[in-house]
This record gives sequence, structure tokens and C-alpha cells, in this order.
Amino acid sequence: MPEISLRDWVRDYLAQLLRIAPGEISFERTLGDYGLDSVDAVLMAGEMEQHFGIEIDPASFIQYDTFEDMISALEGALHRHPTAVP
Amino acid sequence: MTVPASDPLSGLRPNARTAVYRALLRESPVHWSRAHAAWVLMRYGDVSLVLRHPQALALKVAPFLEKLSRRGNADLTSLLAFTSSLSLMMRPPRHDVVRRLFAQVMGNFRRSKLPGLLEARADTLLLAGTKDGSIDLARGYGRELALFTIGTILGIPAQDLSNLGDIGGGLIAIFDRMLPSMSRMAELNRAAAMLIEYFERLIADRRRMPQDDGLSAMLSLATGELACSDQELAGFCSFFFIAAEETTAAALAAAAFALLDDGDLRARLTRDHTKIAGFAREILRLSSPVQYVAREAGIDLDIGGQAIRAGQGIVLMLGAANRDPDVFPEPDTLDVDRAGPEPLAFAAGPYRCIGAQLATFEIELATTRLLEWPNLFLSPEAPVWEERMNIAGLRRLTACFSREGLRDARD
Repeated sequence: MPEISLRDWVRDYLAQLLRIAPGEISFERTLGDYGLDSVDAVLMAGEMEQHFGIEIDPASFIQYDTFEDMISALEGALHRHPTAVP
Repeated sequence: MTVPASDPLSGLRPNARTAVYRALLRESPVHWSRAHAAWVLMRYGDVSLVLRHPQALALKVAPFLEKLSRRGNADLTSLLAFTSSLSLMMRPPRHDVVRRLFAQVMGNFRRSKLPGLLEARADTLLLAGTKDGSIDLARGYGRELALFTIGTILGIPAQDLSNLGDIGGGLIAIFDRMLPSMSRMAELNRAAAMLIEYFERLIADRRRMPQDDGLSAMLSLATGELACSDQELAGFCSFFFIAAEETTAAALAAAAFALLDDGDLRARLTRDHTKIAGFAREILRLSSPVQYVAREAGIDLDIGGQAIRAGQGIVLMLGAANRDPDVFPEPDTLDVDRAGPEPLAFAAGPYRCIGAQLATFEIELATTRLLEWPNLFLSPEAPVWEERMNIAGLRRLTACFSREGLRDARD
């Protein structure tokens, strides 16, 4: 199992990308709220794929209302199918 | 059924799409999809309007790929070359020239040697199936005939077709998801590189020694009116190849499935070959080998009461429009006598599929040849679908020859 949780990974990734403190990241916001676009979604999904060894549909980063919804869905899917997250 | 909260079109499976389309047609025929970052249109009228609208432009993919390549530090050179030849082909001002030239290359196929060769090829495949006792009508018939057709038209050596088809099958996924993952992007780039390099080599061969084939004809056009480089032409050929192969293979397999799955329909077509044209039209409507196409609004548009701003993406769900109950009553029923407007399987307007006539001809021919084998039946084994959303046909459709029927057919 990866040492870092999906939730913490997303927080750290966003903080680094946006150059803000991890504590300032709100999971109640969307990719668009932070000024991120589809290229960011594909890149972030790519990084996650490498880190967690799973396949992630970048569209799932965009389709949920908030990061919270997206993380819950990914965690659920990761739990059910450890090798393929839709 | 209610429309689920997350995007219903994201990762849609081919055998689940009919129910999803039905619900969306009823409940949200025009909606914003965050997964596609575009407006999604379901209804026949809306889709048809946008397809014919002069300010609904082909989608530009290159800026996205360039940005991704730069920021993701990934080599997407071949994918960029492929998509830029696409937009060169699809956007004004060269769009009309490219279409006219491609139409010239394909236009006279009925008077060429192709129909006779294709018929012989179909019979050879079916006869070989009788020796094995079974045939895979998806890969071993539909796909074979689609490959043979485009191979014959362009002049691709027969021994290269199967391998080229596999590479093309990998590249076609670029039309599948709006946002492929990075690992998928790398695969797509490799497939694009292999296909373009193959056609560059073939073009170089034809430059040295022209032959009586479509590629040689295109070469003389490329240096003339089209004014494109050999590399660009290799990009056109790559697109032309996968567009002709994967989509037609899907339609041919769908036709075989529909025919063998319905004894009454099969008997009727056997008795009356004039109904085969109506059958092919219905197969195209129901299977819609291209399930959707993407456009970009060139100006602000008002579609189905929805304001679409200039620059926004629009996804036109051809597969849903072809099952719009307001246009096609009892839309899920195959009716060879169905009247009404032209289905949108080949799209419509300025970007209508150049190969529409050819593909329709292939379906009619493949169906006619299948009707000669009354002893061919679907195996109890379930058909297998391609796990794609857009160009998603049958991957495997096994049919068996019964011994008694075999004797009948040979008599």
C-alpha cells in the first residue's frame, strides 16, 4: 500500500502546483475555482497513475462538483478495484 | 431510469448506451458536460442543425496537445502531426480542396475492380469458415472486408493490412475520450508514429514507382492542387485508413449480428434483395459506428433554447440523434421499410463522411453474401464488444456452420 493517502496526495499536489500552503487547500472547491483546466486534469491524473499504480480517467477530475466528491469516488473505486479507477 | 449525478456519458459502455440515450433524450437533451467540457446535444433536430451550421467548426486539438506536451514534458510529436493533418483537412480554407480530391480518389469505386474483388473476398472468408465449422463475423469477416476495401483503394500491400489494422485500432481511441490519460497519450503517440511512418515509406515507394492505385493518384494531386507535403499526405492517409477501417468494420459486424439474430428478417431479405438497402440504412442508424463528433462554436449560437458561446465545445451525439423518437418512431426497432429523414450516421453538412457511399456499398455487399449461407447461425457464445465509447463495434461475433446446411449451400 502507498504510504500517503489519496486525500493527502491531492492536497500536497495542489499546494505545490498552486504554490500555497497545504492547509489553504479547500476540498469544497473545484478545479476551475483554482484556475486549473483540462491540461492540469490530465497531468494530475498522470501523476496519480504513476504514484498509485492505477489507471485514472482524467475526466473524473472535472466531472465532480468538488474535490471532496472526486476523492470520495476515487477512494471508493480504488477500494473495489485496486488496479483500475474509472 | 433517472440520469445519474455523475456524467452519464463518461465511460459509457456500448451495450448500455441505448437506455442512457433514451433517458437523456427525454430529460436533458441539451446539457453541459463537465467531463467533456462541452455542450452535449442529443436530439436529431439540434444535432442536424449544428452539423450543417457554417459556424460550427471542427474541433482544434493541437493547442491542447501542445500545452500538454510542454507542461507534461511528454513527446506527443506524432500525435500532433496526425491531428494537425486532421485540422488541415477539416477547417477552412483547405477543407473543400481536400474533400474534393479525396472524393475523386474514391468516387469511381463502383466502376473499379473493387466490387468484384470484394465479393470474392467475402466468399473466400465464408468458405474458409465452413472448413473450420465457425467464423468470427466481427474480426474474421467485417474487419477483414473493411481492411480489404481501404487496402485495395489506397494500394496497401495485402500482407501489411492486418498489422496496420491493429495499429489503427489503437489510434482510433483518440476519438474516444475527450481527455485520455497520460499513459494513453503515450500509446496513441506511438500508434500515430507507426502509422505515419508506414505511409511515408509507402509514399516514397510510389514516388519512385507510381502504380494504378489511390495512393499514386493522391500523390499527383498532392503536388498539384492540394499543395501538401508528403508528411502531411501520410497524415491524411493515416486518418483516411482508420476512419474507413474501424467504422466500417463496426457497421459490417452490426449488420451480420442483426441478420443472424432475426430469422424473419433474414428470410425476408433472402426473398427480396431490394430490401437490403433499407436494411443497410437501418444498420447505420442503429449501430451509428461513430457515436459522436465534437465541434467548436465559431460564434455565439442558440441551440434548443440554450445559449452556446463562441469558443465553447459542442458534442453531437449522432448515436442518440439516430434514436430520437420524435423523428424515428419506435426508434429501437429495425424497420427496413422505415421512411423519414436520413439518419446521421455519416454526420451531415460540410463534414459529412466522404466514404458514406463506399461504406453503404460494403454493408449491402457483405449482407448479400451472408444471405447465401442459410446454414450459418450465431453461436450461443455471447458477442464481445470493444470497450470504447465512441467507435465501439463488436470485437467478436462467433457464428457456426451446420453440416446439413453446408450440404444445401453447396448443392
